Amino acid sequence: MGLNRLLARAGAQRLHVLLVEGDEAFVLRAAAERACLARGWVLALSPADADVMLACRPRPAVVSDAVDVVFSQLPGPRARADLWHERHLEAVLDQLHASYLSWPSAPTPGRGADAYPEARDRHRPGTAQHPIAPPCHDSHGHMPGNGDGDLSAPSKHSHPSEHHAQAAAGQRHSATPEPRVGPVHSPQTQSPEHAEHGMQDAEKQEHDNSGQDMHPGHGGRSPHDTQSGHGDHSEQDAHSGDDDAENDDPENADDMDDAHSGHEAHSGHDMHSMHDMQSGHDMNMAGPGGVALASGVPDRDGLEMDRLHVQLGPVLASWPAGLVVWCTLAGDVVTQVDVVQPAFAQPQWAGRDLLVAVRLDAAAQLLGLAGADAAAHQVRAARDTVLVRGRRTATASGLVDGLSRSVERTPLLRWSLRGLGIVSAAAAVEHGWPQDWVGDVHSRLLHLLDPLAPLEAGLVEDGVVAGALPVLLNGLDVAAARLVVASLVAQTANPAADRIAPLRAAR
Amino acid sequence: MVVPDWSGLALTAAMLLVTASAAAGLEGALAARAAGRPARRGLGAAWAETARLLRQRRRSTLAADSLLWRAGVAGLVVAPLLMVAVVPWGRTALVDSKIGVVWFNAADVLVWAAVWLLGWGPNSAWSLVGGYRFLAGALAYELPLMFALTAPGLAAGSLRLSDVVAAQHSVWFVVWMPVAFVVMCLGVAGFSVWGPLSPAAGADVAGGVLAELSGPDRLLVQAGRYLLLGAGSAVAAVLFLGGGSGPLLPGWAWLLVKTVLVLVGLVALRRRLPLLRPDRFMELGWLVLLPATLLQLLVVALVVVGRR
Repeated sequence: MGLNRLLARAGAQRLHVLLVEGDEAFVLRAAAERACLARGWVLALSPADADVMLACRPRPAVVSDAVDVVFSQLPGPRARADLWHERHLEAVLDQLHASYLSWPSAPTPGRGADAYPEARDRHRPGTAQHPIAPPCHDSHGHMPGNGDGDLSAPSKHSHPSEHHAQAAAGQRHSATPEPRVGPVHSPQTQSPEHAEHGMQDAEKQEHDNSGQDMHPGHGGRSPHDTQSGHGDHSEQDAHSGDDDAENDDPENADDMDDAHSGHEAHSGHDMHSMHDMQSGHDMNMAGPGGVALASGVPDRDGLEMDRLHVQLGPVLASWPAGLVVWCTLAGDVVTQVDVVQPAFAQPQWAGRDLLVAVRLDAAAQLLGLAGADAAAHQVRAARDTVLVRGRRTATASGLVDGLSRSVERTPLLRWSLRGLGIVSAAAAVEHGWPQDWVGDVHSRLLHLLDPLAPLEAGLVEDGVVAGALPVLLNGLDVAAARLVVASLVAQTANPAADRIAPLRAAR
Repeated sequence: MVVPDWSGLALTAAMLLVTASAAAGLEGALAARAAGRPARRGLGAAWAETARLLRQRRRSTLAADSLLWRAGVAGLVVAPLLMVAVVPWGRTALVDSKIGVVWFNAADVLVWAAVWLLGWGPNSAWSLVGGYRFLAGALAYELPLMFALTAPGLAAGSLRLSDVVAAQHSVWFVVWMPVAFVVMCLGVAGFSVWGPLSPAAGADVAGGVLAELSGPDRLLVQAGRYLLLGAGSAVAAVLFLGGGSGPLLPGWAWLLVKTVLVLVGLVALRRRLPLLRPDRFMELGWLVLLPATLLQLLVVALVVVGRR
């Protein structure tokens, strides 16, 4: 135990954090990134790499659902939190840190939730739109998460095809109800909640009696309870305490590992979308674990390559927020692109400072993908200066002006990025793409870094980016495709009116 | 009955550990400085990572090929141990093989299998793409590396590393084989999946072969990369920088100093250069490095013939 604490404390100096950006959360995500790096934390590249997950305004449902499933893929010790307002940032990070340290024992009930009222009612809009599904404790009720430091809502199961087709519609196949936060809930949602509670208690009892470690739905619920912190569920709390004791037991450690991989297998089924090879919607032959084997397909060179289906986004490092793309790969070459959901765009009226920061952020992500870490860091610093102190200050301090030139002077970067994702002026006119895009990835990168670039040139109608991706990405290898995606930044010209207020509130 | 050389084993192990730790510490310090934090704080980053990964659970994926996956993890640790076994730290090497240069080459090709299995094992698209990318990069660096390795052997008239050191008593090979030395360093970066030659583990493929690794597996792979970096630098110092020869200090100390010098270069390189995308690096490897190495070999051969 002493050793465990020692390791925990040493490891906590370099927590790997998986950041997720929801709609209109750009400023929030940038702030979170800044704060995490200032603490010496590391931005994780994949779920397996992450210790903690921080979701900045995880909405709409396609994002929050993905967050739930991806969290179940973190190896643990793990903790997650949702961030809704910048003023809670430091407190949320402290809380993540504390949960990581105390893992697998759950945080003190009630504490976390009480500190962040916004976080507690995060599902209220969702609840209002989508009435709670009847509880279905069937085989689909397997809940990822083993009663560890999950700070927020339970993970939900959704079938892959469902996830693909209906996630955007917010349909949930939920074995547990939305968070029961008691006093905060509106009266009309309270009664079904309580009914559920009764049912859960009964189930819990059954679980206790059966003594099965992997009772369906068990893992998802207990962290949940600890979060919502119901005083009147002492029985459950006590039970989760038992769990923790079990987890500490070295004899049970193996069982837990097994259980965990079982979970992974299951969530892999949900989410191979994210990180596993699978055969996607046209699957017709079940392979191991119900996932079809990769089939062969002739490459452009006539060689037979593995055909892989990969979902990119919405939880992917250095990827535009909200963008969800289904790719078919032959080996590592993109052969088909389906845009499921376009990226969240910054509206036109967002203000020049914000738009400049968005462009610098895209440039930093692009540089990071290209492996130019030092330059990426410089650009991120410039982005933060623009966000915190305004563009004029940043320009006056010379932070922004030099960037374009110093990147231009890196010959290897030019050699690596030139000629990628070429957009001719004629093609831009033909497809209605913004004039910003004319050139290749390298020229677009320089353009993103230019503080004097006319932002109006980047204005497009909604859906233009989604239409452009299949045209531009086909035939590229998947890494090059990501560079091209990062270089395409656009502001949508016709913002929906109802998006104005939330963004102002966020700033 | 062979009597194991315990002191040689201890020395070799200690040297490898010291060089790998030095590389990890330096990388942490440089990263911290680049991020605007005191470099001192970054020195311990590798140890913090170690603690973190020791506590982290091992995570599996659906239908993973665990056996091959783990074999890949182990391979990255075994290969550098095999490499340093033939390095003459003291008066002789732990295994003073007649074919030390070939042995080293074989160990570095073992890394091909290890990294590919890391990509193959987890049944994950990102990892698989990482594996593909490693092989593409390896095709570009390996052949020039093989030719670069033959240059010192040719000049020394022996493939035994201690003979190669002895042959450099008047002038280090780096002086008249600069191209071979540069290619050697590139090769070390290549098989260590390091810096500009690490597209197999790049951010653009979500960590590639590392994407699904967690806990002790990830720790071994990351440690293996530093061990490979250390072992490769040691062999480069032996082949091109006169190995353990030098005034005053004992042989192992000189070799350690030279190894660390090569390491510093490789670690600093990582911060300065962007990722070399495999298709572009392939051009460089076959159109520039390979002909340049062959020319280097020609020069060495002519000098050797002229000396006779």
